[in-house]
Amino acid sequence: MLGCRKIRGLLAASLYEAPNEDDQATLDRHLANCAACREQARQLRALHDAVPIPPVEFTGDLLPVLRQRLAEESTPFLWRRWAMPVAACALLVIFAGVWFVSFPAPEPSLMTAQVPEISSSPIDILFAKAENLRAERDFTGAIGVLAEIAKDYPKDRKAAEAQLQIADIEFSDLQRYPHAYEAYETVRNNSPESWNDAPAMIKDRFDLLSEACTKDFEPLYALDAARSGLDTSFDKLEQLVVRYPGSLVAALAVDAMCDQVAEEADAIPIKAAALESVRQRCKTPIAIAQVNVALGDMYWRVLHEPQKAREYYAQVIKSPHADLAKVAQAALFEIENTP
Amino acid sequence: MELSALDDQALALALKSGNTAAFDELVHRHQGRVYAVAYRMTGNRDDALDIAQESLLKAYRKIGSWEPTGGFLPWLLRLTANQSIDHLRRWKRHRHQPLDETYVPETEGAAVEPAAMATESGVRAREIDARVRQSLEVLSPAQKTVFVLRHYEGLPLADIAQQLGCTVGSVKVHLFRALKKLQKELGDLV
Repeated sequence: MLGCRKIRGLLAASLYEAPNEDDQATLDRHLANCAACREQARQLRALHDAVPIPPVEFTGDLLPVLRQRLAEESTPFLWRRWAMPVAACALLVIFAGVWFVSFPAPEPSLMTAQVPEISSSPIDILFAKAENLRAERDFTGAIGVLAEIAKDYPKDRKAAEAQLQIADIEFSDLQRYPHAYEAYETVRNNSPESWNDAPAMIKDRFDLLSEACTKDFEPLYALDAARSGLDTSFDKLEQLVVRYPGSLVAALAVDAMCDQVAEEADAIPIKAAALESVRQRCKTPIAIAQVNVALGDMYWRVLHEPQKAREYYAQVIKSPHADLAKVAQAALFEIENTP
Repeated sequence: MELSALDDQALALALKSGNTAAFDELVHRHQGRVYAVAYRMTGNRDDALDIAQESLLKAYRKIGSWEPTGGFLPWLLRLTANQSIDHLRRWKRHRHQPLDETYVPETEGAAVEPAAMATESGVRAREIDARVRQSLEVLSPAQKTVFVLRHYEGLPLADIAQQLGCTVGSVKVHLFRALKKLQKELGDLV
Protein backbone atom coordinates (compact mmCIF):
# COMPACT_ATOMS: atom_id res chain seq x y z
CA MET A 1 0.00 0.00 0.00
CA LEU A 2 1.26 3.48 -0.85
CA GLY A 3 2.32 5.65 2.07
CA CYS A 4 0.22 8.58 3.25
CA ARG A 5 2.58 11.12 1.70
CA LYS A 6 2.23 9.55 -1.72
CA ILE A 7 -1.53 9.44 -1.49
CA ARG A 8 -1.95 13.15 -0.81
CA GLY A 9 -1.53 14.34 -4.37
CA LEU A 10 -4.14 11.85 -5.50
CA LEU A 11 -6.41 13.00 -2.72
CA ALA A 12 -6.19 16.64 -3.80
CA ALA A 13 -6.51 15.82 -7.49
CA SER A 14 -9.58 13.65 -6.90
CA LEU A 15 -11.45 16.72 -5.65
CA TYR A 16 -11.25 18.14 -9.14
CA GLU A 17 -10.85 15.30 -11.58
CA ALA A 18 -12.11 11.76 -11.46
CA PRO A 19 -9.10 9.47 -10.94
CA ASN A 20 -8.42 6.71 -13.42
CA GLU A 21 -9.27 3.19 -12.36
CA ASP A 22 -5.85 2.40 -10.95
CA ASP A 23 -5.64 5.62 -8.96
CA GLN A 24 -9.18 5.19 -7.68
CA ALA A 25 -8.38 1.66 -6.55
CA THR A 26 -5.20 2.90 -4.86
CA LEU A 27 -7.13 5.65 -3.10
CA ASP A 28 -9.94 3.34 -2.00
CA ARG A 29 -7.50 0.77 -0.70
CA HIS A 30 -5.54 3.37 1.24
CA LEU A 31 -8.52 5.18 2.69
CA ALA A 32 -10.09 1.92 3.80
CA ASN A 33 -7.06 1.29 5.99
CA CYS A 34 -6.00 4.78 7.07
CA ALA A 35 -8.19 6.79 9.40
CA ALA A 36 -5.87 9.82 9.25
CA CYS A 37 -6.12 10.09 5.48
CA ARG A 38 -9.88 9.55 5.63
CA GLU A 39 -10.09 12.54 7.96
CA GLN A 40 -7.73 14.47 5.71
CA ALA A 41 -9.91 13.66 2.72
CA ARG A 42 -13.01 14.81 4.58
CA GLN A 43 -11.40 18.11 5.54
CA LEU A 44 -10.10 18.79 2.07
CA ARG A 45 -13.49 18.03 0.56
CA ALA A 46 -15.12 20.43 3.04
CA LEU A 47 -12.60 23.11 2.15
CA HIS A 48 -12.98 22.50 -1.57
CA ASP A 49 -16.75 22.81 -1.31
CA ALA A 50 -16.54 25.88 0.91
CA VAL A 51 -14.24 27.94 -1.29
CA PRO A 52 -16.63 29.75 -3.59
CA ILE A 53 -15.94 30.49 -7.20
CA PRO A 54 -17.65 33.82 -7.64
CA PRO A 55 -17.54 35.14 -11.16
CA VAL A 56 -14.99 37.80 -11.92
CA GLU A 57 -16.87 39.60 -14.59
CA PHE A 58 -15.09 41.71 -17.11
CA THR A 59 -16.86 44.16 -19.37
CA GLY A 60 -15.34 46.60 -21.77
CA ASP A 61 -12.53 45.97 -24.16
CA LEU A 62 -8.76 46.01 -23.80
CA LEU A 63 -8.22 45.83 -27.51
CA PRO A 64 -8.04 49.59 -28.22
CA VAL A 65 -5.34 50.00 -25.58
CA LEU A 66 -3.45 46.98 -26.85
CA ARG A 67 -3.61 48.24 -30.42
CA GLN A 68 -2.32 51.61 -29.30
CA ARG A 69 0.54 50.01 -27.37
CA LEU A 70 1.49 47.82 -30.30
CA ALA A 71 1.33 50.76 -32.68
CA GLU A 72 3.62 52.76 -30.41
CA GLU A 73 6.05 49.88 -30.31
CA SER A 74 6.01 49.17 -34.00
CA THR A 75 6.15 52.75 -35.26
CA PRO A 76 9.92 53.02 -35.15
CA PHE A 77 10.44 49.48 -36.30
CA LEU A 78 9.63 48.18 -39.71
CA TRP A 79 9.53 44.59 -38.75
CA ARG A 80 7.76 42.03 -36.66
CA ARG A 81 9.79 40.91 -33.67
CA TRP A 82 9.82 37.21 -34.37
CA ALA A 83 9.89 37.35 -38.12
CA MET A 84 12.64 39.82 -38.80
CA PRO A 85 15.75 38.50 -40.44
CA VAL A 86 18.96 39.56 -38.85
CA ALA A 87 20.05 41.47 -41.92
CA ALA A 88 17.22 43.91 -41.58
CA CYS A 89 18.29 44.95 -38.11
CA ALA A 90 19.71 48.28 -39.10
CA LEU A 91 17.62 51.24 -38.20
CA LEU A 92 16.61 53.00 -35.20
CA VAL A 93 16.39 54.20 -31.83
CA ILE A 94 17.52 52.89 -28.59
CA PHE A 95 19.75 53.05 -24.80
CA ALA A 96 22.18 52.00 -21.02
CA GLY A 97 22.51 52.96 -17.45
CA VAL A 98 26.02 51.64 -17.23
CA TRP A 99 26.76 53.79 -20.19
CA PHE A 100 27.81 56.65 -18.01
CA VAL A 101 30.81 54.57 -17.12
CA SER A 102 32.06 54.80 -20.65
CA PHE A 103 30.77 58.23 -21.40
CA PRO A 104 31.83 60.10 -18.31
CA ALA A 105 30.68 63.66 -18.01
CA PRO A 106 33.43 66.21 -18.50
CA GLU A 107 35.49 67.02 -15.46
CA PRO A 108 33.73 69.69 -13.37
CA SER A 109 36.55 72.13 -13.77
CA LEU A 110 36.46 71.75 -17.52
CA MET A 111 32.72 72.14 -17.53
CA THR A 112 32.93 75.26 -15.45
CA ALA A 113 35.71 76.79 -17.44
CA GLN A 114 34.55 76.13 -20.96
CA VAL A 115 30.87 75.43 -20.90
CA PRO A 116 29.53 76.88 -17.69
CA GLU A 117 25.90 76.37 -18.61
CA ILE A 118 26.33 72.73 -19.58
CA SER A 119 24.45 71.39 -16.60
CA SER A 120 21.28 72.98 -17.91
CA SER A 121 21.83 72.47 -21.62
CA PRO A 122 18.78 71.23 -23.54
CA ILE A 123 20.40 67.87 -24.14
CA ASP A 124 21.15 67.36 -20.44
CA ILE A 125 17.63 68.39 -19.53
CA LEU A 126 16.35 65.75 -21.92
CA PHE A 127 18.63 63.11 -20.41
CA ALA A 128 17.43 64.04 -16.94
CA LYS A 129 13.84 63.85 -18.12
CA ALA A 130 14.43 60.40 -19.59
CA GLU A 131 16.07 59.27 -16.37
CA ASN A 132 13.09 60.46 -14.34
CA LEU A 133 10.64 58.75 -16.65
CA ARG A 134 12.58 55.53 -16.38
CA ALA A 135 12.66 55.80 -12.60
CA GLU A 136 8.88 56.13 -12.72
CA ARG A 137 8.79 53.03 -14.93
CA ASP A 138 7.42 54.99 -17.87
CA PHE A 139 9.74 53.18 -20.24
CA THR A 140 7.91 54.16 -23.40
CA GLY A 141 8.15 57.80 -22.37
CA ALA A 142 11.84 57.48 -21.58
CA ILE A 143 12.54 55.84 -24.92
CA GLY A 144 10.62 58.60 -26.67
CA VAL A 145 12.75 61.30 -25.05
CA LEU A 146 15.99 59.45 -25.77
CA ALA A 147 14.95 58.86 -29.38
CA GLU A 148 14.35 62.58 -29.63
CA ILE A 149 17.93 63.22 -28.49
CA ALA A 150 19.29 60.74 -31.00
CA LYS A 151 17.28 62.33 -33.77
CA ASP A 152 17.86 65.96 -32.90
CA TYR A 153 21.57 65.70 -32.15
CA PRO A 154 22.75 63.17 -34.73
CA LYS A 155 26.31 64.50 -34.81
CA ASP A 156 26.69 64.66 -31.08
CA ARG A 157 28.36 61.85 -29.20
CA LYS A 158 25.35 62.07 -26.93
CA ALA A 159 23.22 60.57 -29.71
CA ALA A 160 25.11 57.32 -29.25
CA GLU A 161 24.70 57.58 -25.51
CA ALA A 162 20.96 58.07 -25.96
CA GLN A 163 20.73 55.05 -28.20
CA LEU A 164 22.66 52.92 -25.74
CA GLN A 165 20.29 54.00 -23.00
CA ILE A 166 17.34 53.06 -25.18
CA ALA A 167 18.92 49.66 -25.76
CA ASP A 168 19.38 49.17 -22.04
CA ILE A 169 15.73 49.92 -21.37
CA GLU A 170 14.70 47.56 -24.14
CA PHE A 171 16.96 44.84 -22.78
CA SER A 172 16.68 45.22 -19.04
CA ASP A 173 13.26 46.69 -18.44
CA LEU A 174 11.16 45.58 -21.36
CA GLN A 175 12.96 42.43 -22.48
CA ARG A 176 12.35 43.45 -26.08
CA TYR A 177 15.48 41.84 -27.37
CA PRO A 178 15.12 42.54 -31.11
CA HIS A 179 14.75 46.22 -30.30
CA ALA A 180 17.76 46.15 -28.01
CA TYR A 181 19.81 44.36 -30.64
CA GLU A 182 18.81 46.86 -33.28
CA ALA A 183 19.76 49.75 -31.03
CA TYR A 184 23.20 48.37 -30.33
CA GLU A 185 23.66 47.68 -34.02
CA THR A 186 22.80 51.30 -34.76
CA VAL A 187 25.52 52.52 -32.41
CA ARG A 188 28.04 50.06 -33.82
CA ASN A 189 27.30 51.14 -37.38
CA ASN A 190 26.84 54.86 -36.89
CA SER A 191 29.17 55.62 -34.00
CA PRO A 192 32.09 53.19 -34.10
CA GLU A 193 34.16 55.39 -31.79
CA SER A 194 31.48 55.41 -29.16
CA TRP A 195 31.06 51.68 -29.55
CA ASN A 196 34.77 51.09 -29.04
CA ASP A 197 34.64 53.09 -25.84
CA ALA A 198 31.59 51.27 -24.53
CA PRO A 199 32.11 49.10 -21.46
CA ALA A 200 32.78 45.39 -21.81
CA MET A 201 29.42 44.58 -20.26
CA ILE A 202 27.63 46.20 -23.16
CA LYS A 203 29.73 44.29 -25.67
CA ASP A 204 29.08 41.05 -23.80
CA ARG A 205 25.40 41.81 -23.95
CA PHE A 206 25.64 42.52 -27.66
CA ASP A 207 27.38 39.16 -28.19
CA LEU A 208 24.53 37.50 -26.34
CA LEU A 209 21.96 39.28 -28.49
CA SER A 210 23.87 38.47 -31.68
CA GLU A 211 23.89 34.82 -30.79
CA ALA A 212 20.19 34.81 -29.88
CA CYS A 213 19.29 36.81 -32.98
CA THR A 214 20.08 33.82 -35.18
CA LYS A 215 17.27 31.96 -33.40
CA ASP A 216 14.75 34.81 -33.38
CA PHE A 217 15.78 35.57 -29.79
CA GLU A 218 13.92 32.50 -28.63
CA PRO A 219 16.77 31.40 -26.28
CA LEU A 220 16.49 34.66 -24.36
CA TYR A 221 12.72 34.44 -24.03
CA ALA A 222 13.13 30.85 -22.88
CA LEU A 223 15.72 31.98 -20.34
CA ASP A 224 13.31 34.62 -19.03
CA ALA A 225 10.58 32.04 -18.75
CA ALA A 226 12.87 29.60 -16.96
CA ARG A 227 13.95 32.30 -14.55
CA SER A 228 10.36 33.25 -13.85
CA GLY A 229 10.65 31.70 -10.44
CA LEU A 230 8.22 28.83 -10.27
CA ASP A 231 9.38 25.72 -8.45
CA THR A 232 10.09 24.02 -11.75
CA SER A 233 12.64 26.64 -12.71
CA PHE A 234 15.72 24.48 -12.22
CA ASP A 235 14.43 21.80 -14.57
CA LYS A 236 13.50 24.42 -17.14
CA LEU A 237 16.97 25.92 -16.96
CA GLU A 238 18.48 22.50 -17.45
CA GLN A 239 16.25 21.95 -20.47
CA LEU A 240 17.49 25.26 -21.82
CA VAL A 241 21.10 24.14 -21.46
CA VAL A 242 20.27 20.92 -23.27
CA ARG A 243 18.57 22.86 -26.05
CA TYR A 244 21.40 25.35 -26.57
CA PRO A 245 24.58 23.67 -25.31
CA GLY A 246 27.77 25.66 -25.62
CA SER A 247 25.90 28.93 -26.08
CA LEU A 248 26.08 32.08 -24.00
CA VAL A 249 22.48 31.52 -23.01
CA ALA A 250 23.42 28.07 -21.71
CA ALA A 251 26.17 29.66 -19.62
CA LEU A 252 23.66 32.16 -18.23
CA ALA A 253 21.26 29.33 -17.50
CA VAL A 254 23.98 27.58 -15.52
CA ASP A 255 24.56 30.81 -13.59
CA ALA A 256 20.86 31.00 -12.83
CA MET A 257 20.92 27.38 -11.66
CA CYS A 258 23.78 28.30 -9.32
CA ASP A 259 21.70 31.13 -7.91
CA GLN A 260 18.92 28.68 -7.20
CA VAL A 261 21.20 26.19 -5.52
CA ALA A 262 22.87 28.92 -3.51
CA GLU A 263 19.49 30.18 -2.40
CA GLU A 264 18.49 26.74 -1.35
CA ALA A 265 21.72 26.14 0.55
CA ASP A 266 22.92 29.37 2.05
CA ALA A 267 26.00 27.63 3.43
CA ILE A 268 27.50 27.42 -0.04
CA PRO A 269 29.70 30.47 -0.13
CA ILE A 270 31.44 30.24 -3.45
CA LYS A 271 30.46 29.71 -7.00
CA ALA A 272 32.53 26.57 -7.47
CA ALA A 273 30.65 24.85 -4.66
CA ALA A 274 27.35 26.00 -6.15
CA LEU A 275 28.42 24.64 -9.53
CA GLU A 276 29.25 21.31 -7.94
CA SER A 277 25.75 21.20 -6.46
CA VAL A 278 24.22 22.09 -9.78
CA ARG A 279 26.20 19.33 -11.45
CA GLN A 280 24.94 16.80 -8.96
CA ARG A 281 21.37 17.92 -9.48
CA CYS A 282 21.47 17.88 -13.28
CA LYS A 283 20.02 14.79 -14.88
CA THR A 284 21.13 15.06 -18.49
CA PRO A 285 24.64 14.35 -19.83
CA ILE A 286 24.71 17.51 -21.93
CA ALA A 287 23.79 19.72 -18.99
CA ILE A 288 26.37 17.98 -16.83
CA ALA A 289 28.96 18.60 -19.54
CA GLN A 290 28.03 22.28 -19.71
CA VAL A 291 28.41 22.58 -15.93
CA ASN A 292 31.74 20.76 -16.15
CA VAL A 293 32.93 23.39 -18.62
CA ALA A 294 31.87 26.08 -16.17
CA LEU A 295 33.68 24.27 -13.37
CA GLY A 296 36.79 23.87 -15.53
CA ASP A 297 36.69 27.57 -16.36
CA MET A 298 36.20 28.42 -12.71
CA TYR A 299 39.16 26.36 -11.57
CA TRP A 300 41.38 27.36 -14.48
CA ARG A 301 40.63 31.03 -14.97
CA VAL A 302 39.43 32.15 -11.54
CA LEU A 303 40.90 29.87 -8.92
CA HIS A 304 44.08 29.06 -10.94
CA GLU A 305 44.00 25.38 -10.11
CA PRO A 306 44.93 23.80 -13.45
CA GLN A 307 44.99 20.25 -12.15
CA LYS A 308 41.43 20.40 -10.97
CA ALA A 309 40.38 22.24 -14.13
CA ARG A 310 41.93 19.43 -16.22
CA GLU A 311 39.74 16.87 -14.47
CA TYR A 312 36.56 18.69 -15.40
CA TYR A 313 37.60 19.45 -18.96
CA ALA A 314 38.68 15.83 -19.41
CA GLN A 315 35.16 14.70 -18.55
CA VAL A 316 33.71 17.07 -21.12
CA ILE A 317 35.81 15.63 -23.93
CA LYS A 318 33.59 12.56 -23.69
CA SER A 319 30.52 14.79 -23.89
CA PRO A 320 27.75 13.83 -26.28
CA HIS A 321 27.87 17.36 -27.62
CA ALA A 322 30.67 18.06 -30.08
CA ASP A 323 30.87 21.83 -29.46
CA LEU A 324 31.29 21.38 -25.74
CA ALA A 325 33.93 18.74 -26.34
CA LYS A 326 35.81 21.20 -28.59
CA VAL A 327 35.65 23.89 -25.92
CA ALA A 328 37.13 21.47 -23.41
CA GLN A 329 39.86 20.37 -25.82
CA ALA A 330 40.81 23.97 -26.50
CA ALA A 331 40.95 24.72 -22.77
CA LEU A 332 43.09 21.66 -22.11
CA PHE A 333 45.44 22.70 -24.90
CA GLU A 334 45.65 26.16 -23.33
CA ILE A 335 46.46 24.69 -19.91
CA GLU A 336 49.14 22.41 -21.32
CA ASN A 337 50.78 25.30 -23.16
CA THR A 338 50.69 27.80 -20.36
CA PRO A 339 53.95 27.97 -18.45
CA MET B 1 -13.97 31.88 -43.28
CA GLU B 2 -14.80 34.32 -40.49
CA LEU B 3 -12.12 34.47 -37.83
CA SER B 4 -14.80 34.15 -35.17
CA ALA B 5 -15.60 30.71 -36.55
CA LEU B 6 -12.07 29.46 -35.95
CA ASP B 7 -11.05 27.69 -32.78
CA ASP B 8 -8.25 28.95 -30.55
CA GLN B 9 -5.62 26.72 -32.09
CA ALA B 10 -6.38 27.90 -35.59
CA LEU B 11 -6.40 31.53 -34.49
CA ALA B 12 -3.12 31.14 -32.66
CA LEU B 13 -1.56 29.52 -35.71
CA ALA B 14 -2.88 32.37 -37.85
CA LEU B 15 -1.37 34.89 -35.47
CA LYS B 16 1.86 32.98 -35.45
CA SER B 17 2.00 33.27 -39.21
CA GLY B 18 1.45 37.03 -39.07
CA ASN B 19 -2.32 37.50 -39.15
CA THR B 20 -2.78 40.24 -36.57
CA ALA B 21 -6.57 40.18 -36.95
CA ALA B 22 -6.41 36.79 -35.26
CA PHE B 23 -4.96 38.55 -32.23
CA ASP B 24 -8.03 40.81 -32.05
CA GLU B 25 -10.31 37.80 -32.01
CA LEU B 26 -8.23 36.03 -29.36
CA VAL B 27 -8.29 39.15 -27.18
CA HIS B 28 -12.06 39.46 -27.47
CA ARG B 29 -12.42 35.82 -26.66
CA HIS B 30 -10.12 35.57 -23.65
CA GLN B 31 -9.53 38.98 -22.10
CA GLY B 32 -12.09 38.24 -19.39
CA ARG B 33 -10.34 35.06 -18.30
CA VAL B 34 -6.94 36.70 -18.46
CA TYR B 35 -8.23 39.46 -16.23
CA ALA B 36 -9.81 36.92 -13.88
CA VAL B 37 -6.55 35.01 -13.44
CA ALA B 38 -4.63 38.23 -12.84
CA TYR B 39 -7.23 39.32 -10.32
CA ARG B 40 -7.17 35.97 -8.53
CA MET B 41 -3.39 36.05 -8.39
CA THR B 42 -3.04 39.63 -7.16
CA GLY B 43 -6.34 40.39 -5.43
CA ASN B 44 -6.28 43.88 -6.87
CA ARG B 45 -8.33 45.20 -9.75
CA ASP B 46 -5.97 47.93 -10.93
CA ASP B 47 -3.05 45.53 -10.93
CA ALA B 48 -5.15 42.91 -12.68
CA LEU B 49 -5.98 45.32 -15.50
CA ASP B 50 -2.32 46.20 -15.94
CA ILE B 51 -1.32 42.56 -15.87
CA ALA B 52 -4.06 41.58 -18.30
CA GLN B 53 -2.76 44.17 -20.75
CA GLU B 54 0.84 43.09 -20.34
CA SER B 55 -0.02 39.42 -20.61
CA LEU B 56 -1.95 39.87 -23.84
CA LEU B 57 0.88 41.98 -25.26
CA LYS B 58 3.34 39.31 -24.21
CA ALA B 59 1.23 36.67 -25.92
CA TYR B 60 1.36 38.75 -29.10
CA ARG B 61 5.11 39.16 -28.87
CA LYS B 62 5.83 35.58 -27.91
CA ILE B 63 3.38 33.75 -30.09
CA GLY B 64 6.41 32.51 -32.01
CA SER B 65 7.32 30.35 -29.05
CA TRP B 66 3.86 28.87 -28.64
CA GLU B 67 3.76 25.25 -29.71
CA PRO B 68 0.55 24.00 -31.33
CA THR B 69 0.93 20.76 -29.37
CA GLY B 70 -0.24 22.64 -26.28
CA GLY B 71 -3.52 24.48 -25.98
CA PHE B 72 -3.47 28.21 -26.57
CA LEU B 73 -5.60 29.13 -23.56
CA PRO B 74 -3.49 27.22 -20.99
CA TRP B 75 -0.43 28.90 -22.49
CA LEU B 76 -2.04 32.32 -22.28
CA LEU B 77 -3.20 31.80 -18.71
CA ARG B 78 0.23 30.53 -17.70
CA LEU B 79 1.75 33.70 -19.18
CA THR B 80 -0.75 35.65 -17.12
CA ALA B 81 0.06 33.75 -13.94
CA ASN B 82 3.78 34.32 -14.50
CA GLN B 83 3.20 37.97 -15.23
CA SER B 84 1.21 38.23 -11.99
CA ILE B 85 3.96 36.56 -9.99
CA ASP B 86 6.56 38.87 -11.50
CA HIS B 87 4.33 41.81 -10.69
CA LEU B 88 3.93 40.77 -7.07
CA ARG B 89 7.64 40.22 -6.72
CA ARG B 90 8.53 43.48 -8.38
CA TRP B 91 6.28 45.66 -6.36
CA LYS B 92 6.02 43.61 -3.21
CA ARG B 93 2.62 44.99 -2.57
CA HIS B 94 -0.62 43.25 -1.97
CA ARG B 95 -3.31 45.81 -1.89
CA HIS B 96 -6.84 44.79 -1.15
CA GLN B 97 -10.08 46.43 -1.98
CA PRO B 98 -13.56 45.28 -1.10
CA LEU B 99 -14.91 42.82 -3.60
CA ASP B 100 -18.15 44.68 -4.04
CA GLU B 101 -16.54 47.89 -5.15
CA THR B 102 -17.06 48.26 -8.83
CA TYR B 103 -14.50 49.82 -11.04
CA VAL B 104 -15.31 51.02 -14.48
CA PRO B 105 -12.42 52.58 -16.34
CA GLU B 106 -13.58 54.73 -19.17
CA THR B 107 -11.30 53.51 -21.88
CA GLU B 108 -9.58 50.31 -20.98
CA GLY B 109 -12.35 48.00 -20.02
CA ALA B 110 -14.43 47.50 -16.99
CA ALA B 111 -13.79 45.06 -14.25
CA VAL B 112 -16.90 44.27 -12.33
CA GLU B 113 -16.53 42.19 -9.24
CA PRO B 114 -18.96 39.56 -8.13
CA ALA B 115 -22.40 40.97 -8.47
CA ALA B 116 -25.62 39.16 -7.63
CA MET B 117 -24.49 38.31 -4.14
CA ALA B 118 -27.21 40.11 -2.28
CA THR B 119 -28.72 37.10 -0.60
CA GLU B 120 -27.63 35.93 2.85
CA SER B 121 -25.77 33.02 1.36
CA GLY B 122 -24.31 35.41 -1.17
CA VAL B 123 -23.02 37.67 1.56
CA ARG B 124 -21.54 34.68 3.34
CA ALA B 125 -19.89 33.50 0.14
CA ARG B 126 -18.50 36.96 -0.39
CA GLU B 127 -17.01 37.00 3.08
CA ILE B 128 -15.42 33.63 2.51
CA ASP B 129 -14.10 34.72 -0.87
CA ALA B 130 -12.49 37.77 0.71
CA ARG B 131 -10.84 35.52 3.30
CA VAL B 132 -9.70 33.13 0.59
CA ARG B 133 -8.23 36.00 -1.35
CA GLN B 134 -6.18 37.03 1.67
CA SER B 135 -5.20 33.45 2.35
CA LEU B 136 -3.85 32.98 -1.17
CA GLU B 137 -0.96 35.20 -0.16
CA VAL B 138 0.50 32.46 1.98
CA LEU B 139 0.86 30.16 -1.02
CA SER B 140 4.12 29.84 -2.92
CA PRO B 141 4.03 31.07 -6.53
CA ALA B 142 3.70 27.53 -7.85
CA GLN B 143 0.99 26.61 -5.37
CA LYS B 144 -0.94 29.76 -6.13
CA THR B 145 -0.63 29.25 -9.88
CA VAL B 146 -1.82 25.66 -9.67
CA PHE B 147 -4.68 26.49 -7.32
CA VAL B 148 -5.92 29.46 -9.34
CA LEU B 149 -5.70 27.67 -12.67
CA ARG B 150 -7.38 24.51 -11.36
CA HIS B 151 -9.88 25.72 -8.79
CA TYR B 152 -11.01 28.95 -10.40
CA GLU B 153 -10.21 28.46 -14.06
CA GLY B 154 -10.90 24.75 -14.26
CA LEU B 155 -7.84 23.92 -16.33
CA PRO B 156 -7.08 20.19 -16.36
CA LEU B 157 -4.11 19.23 -14.19
CA ALA B 158 -2.39 17.72 -17.22
CA ASP B 159 -2.55 21.06 -19.07
CA ILE B 160 -1.22 22.90 -16.05
CA ALA B 161 1.64 20.43 -15.78
CA GLN B 162 2.49 20.89 -19.45
CA GLN B 163 2.51 24.65 -19.10
CA LEU B 164 4.61 24.61 -15.94
CA GLY B 165 7.02 22.11 -17.46
CA CYS B 166 6.61 19.58 -14.67
CA THR B 167 4.88 16.28 -14.08
CA VAL B 168 1.22 15.88 -13.28
CA GLY B 169 2.32 14.30 -10.01
CA SER B 170 4.22 17.45 -9.10
CA VAL B 171 1.16 19.58 -9.89
CA LYS B 172 -0.97 17.36 -7.67
CA VAL B 173 1.48 17.85 -4.83
CA HIS B 174 1.38 21.64 -5.32
CA LEU B 175 -2.40 21.44 -5.27
CA PHE B 176 -2.41 19.39 -2.08
CA ARG B 177 -0.04 21.78 -0.34
CA ALA B 178 -2.12 24.75 -1.47
CA LEU B 179 -5.26 23.18 -0.07
CA LYS B 180 -3.53 22.28 3.18
CA LYS B 181 -2.33 25.84 3.66
CA LEU B 182 -5.77 27.21 2.86
CA GLN B 183 -7.28 24.72 5.27
CA LYS B 184 -5.02 26.05 7.97
CA GLU B 185 -5.90 29.64 7.15
CA LEU B 186 -9.63 29.05 6.76
CA GLY B 187 -10.13 26.31 9.32
CA ASP B 188 -12.69 28.32 11.25
CA LEU B 189 -14.87 28.75 8.19
CA VAL B 190 -14.98 25.16 7.08
